[in-house]
Amino acid sequence: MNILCSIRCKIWACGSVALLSYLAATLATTWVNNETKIFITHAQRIDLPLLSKGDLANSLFNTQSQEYENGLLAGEQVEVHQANILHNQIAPLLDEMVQLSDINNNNDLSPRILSLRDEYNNYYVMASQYYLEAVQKNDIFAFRNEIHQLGKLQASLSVDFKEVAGRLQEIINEDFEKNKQRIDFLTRFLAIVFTLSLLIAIVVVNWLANREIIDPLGKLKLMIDNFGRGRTIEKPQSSRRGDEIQELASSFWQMTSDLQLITVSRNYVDNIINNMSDSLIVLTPDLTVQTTNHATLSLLRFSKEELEGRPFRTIFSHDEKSIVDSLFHGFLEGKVVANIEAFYTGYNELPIPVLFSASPIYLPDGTLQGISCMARDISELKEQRDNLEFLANFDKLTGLPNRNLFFDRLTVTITEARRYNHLFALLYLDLDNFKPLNDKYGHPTGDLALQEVARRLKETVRDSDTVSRLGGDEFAILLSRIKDAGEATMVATKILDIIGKPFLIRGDQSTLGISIGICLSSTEISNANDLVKNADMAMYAAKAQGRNRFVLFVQDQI
Amino acid sequence: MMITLNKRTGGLILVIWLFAVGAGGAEPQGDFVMVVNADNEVTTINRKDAELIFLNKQRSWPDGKNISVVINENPKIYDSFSHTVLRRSSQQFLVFRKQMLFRGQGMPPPTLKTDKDVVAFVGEHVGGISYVSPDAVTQAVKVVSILQ
Repeated sequence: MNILCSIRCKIWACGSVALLSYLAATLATTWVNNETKIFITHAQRIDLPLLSKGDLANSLFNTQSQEYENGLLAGEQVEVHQANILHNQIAPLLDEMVQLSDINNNNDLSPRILSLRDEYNNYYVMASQYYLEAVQKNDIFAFRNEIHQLGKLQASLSVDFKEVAGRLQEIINEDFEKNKQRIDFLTRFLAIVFTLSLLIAIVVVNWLANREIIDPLGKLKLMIDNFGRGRTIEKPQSSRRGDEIQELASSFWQMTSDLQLITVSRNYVDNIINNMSDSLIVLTPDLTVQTTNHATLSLLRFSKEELEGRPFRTIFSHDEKSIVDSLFHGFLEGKVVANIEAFYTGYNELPIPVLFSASPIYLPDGTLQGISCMARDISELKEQRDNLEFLANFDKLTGLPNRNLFFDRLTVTITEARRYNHLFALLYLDLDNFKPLNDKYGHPTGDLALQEVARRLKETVRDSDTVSRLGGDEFAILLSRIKDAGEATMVATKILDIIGKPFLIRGDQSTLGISIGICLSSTEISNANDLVKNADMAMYAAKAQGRNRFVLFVQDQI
Repeated sequence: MMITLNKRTGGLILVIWLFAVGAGGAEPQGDFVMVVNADNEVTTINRKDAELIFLNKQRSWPDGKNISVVINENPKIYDSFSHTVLRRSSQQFLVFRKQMLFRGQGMPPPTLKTDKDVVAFVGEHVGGISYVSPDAVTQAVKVVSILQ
């Protein structure tokens, strides 16, 4: 079957089977037609001439006999002569009949015609002689014995001629009948041959088409379907070299293998996406959620169904609302967003800080297919960063801004005061007799005292003011916007008062004093350090004046 | 039992007349008598039997003897016989005999020209039968009467 390799050969094989059956049917028809032709030819060349000659011979012999009889009875020589002349037709007819009957190969007929011819010739030899003589003598009875003999011969021949003619008719009828039956048989034979040829052609062509074309194509289709469903495809067994369908299957298998090497399956990509720790949201061009990964679902605590189809605006937020609008507008223009801090809003509606990136996804024709949004949960990072920031700017013990932050705010306050031309005051505070307390009760107790001082100081001032611990038992207060010096001294008085109230330390009541130096802002002093230095000087002046009091710094007085 | 036929019997005349009327032909030219061999036991013969015998269709006597017919061509009685017994003309009878011979249907009876020869023939043949003028009858033959 190696010959049936190419599709052309397969189609030719099917066609050839059909053609062969057609050829067989045609050959059978030709044979049947030839048989009929043989019969018709035989009838035309032998049977029908034999029949007509037999009839003619019979008729001529009867005429001849009649003329002999007439001649004899009437004594007319002319009629006898005419009868003799008829012999010239009868004898060749009989000769021809002998020849034809030889060809006819009918066992019965041929010897009969032969004997008829011989008997007739014998009869004629005698008849032509005696009849003429009898007529010439005008006495039929002169040759009574011969003529009687001839009469018997003539009667016998007459019967023979008639019988031969009849027999010929019978034989030809039989021949026709026989051939009619034969043609009937051949017609049935033809019908059977045609039906069989058709059936064989149908069965063989179907079998061949199934085996050589349809089944291999079916297997190939199965391979393609399986490949489409992402299933593993077995390598097709190639038993025949040059089989185009099998080569196609092999090429397809090879292509799938190559594709597996150079591309990734959807499954593979899904695995990667779902195992990502970062959130991935794919948006449609109208900014609704189309696809998400597991990380997104666990981050936002939404189910897949709840999330998909939801407007992205309900999930995404930013500290500044205008940025959100600008970002969304940028998405649609295909802008890439990289690593900005934003917030996702999850199921419990609490903002989740994320590091957000987004990039557009385009179709091959350049139209926007969607936006791929990556987000990393930075809650912990932000917390850590906030802690670090706190540690850098605040005093860990009291929670008050430390020296760094204080100086920062002071600088800002100086700038603003200069721009808007308003007054502020800096209070420098130092606890009196804190060291003996610390020594007496230990550092932890000292710390508690410092915390209490910080709390009381914060209570005393406005929220807009800054209370800072500069270090040890030194504090600073920035009164950001005051009307006059009196407001600052009033705050200082309040502080003295509240710090002066007793502290309950380990069951003992203790009192602490505080010395306060006040420095007001002025056009001359634009430096934070100078301001602090001046306030510090004023504070030392208060210490020097007996502690637990405040001194307002006045240029050139301290 | 011997019966002598009188040539002038009214019966015969009647027969001849009747025949002449029936055949519609010419008058018989002369009388004749049917003769057989003297030894033949037959005394009468039916006309029909006689016709059959002369037309070669009855070939034996009742006792089994072969019939030997001879045709008497004596012109005086030939036509009369032909008309009376065979009921056809002598020419027709001749054609009949020729046809019989020609067609091989049988050997026609021999012919003799004179009554004398005929009487001699019948007298010599035991089964002989013919017809002669009444005056030619001898003892060698026996006259049989013809019954209509």
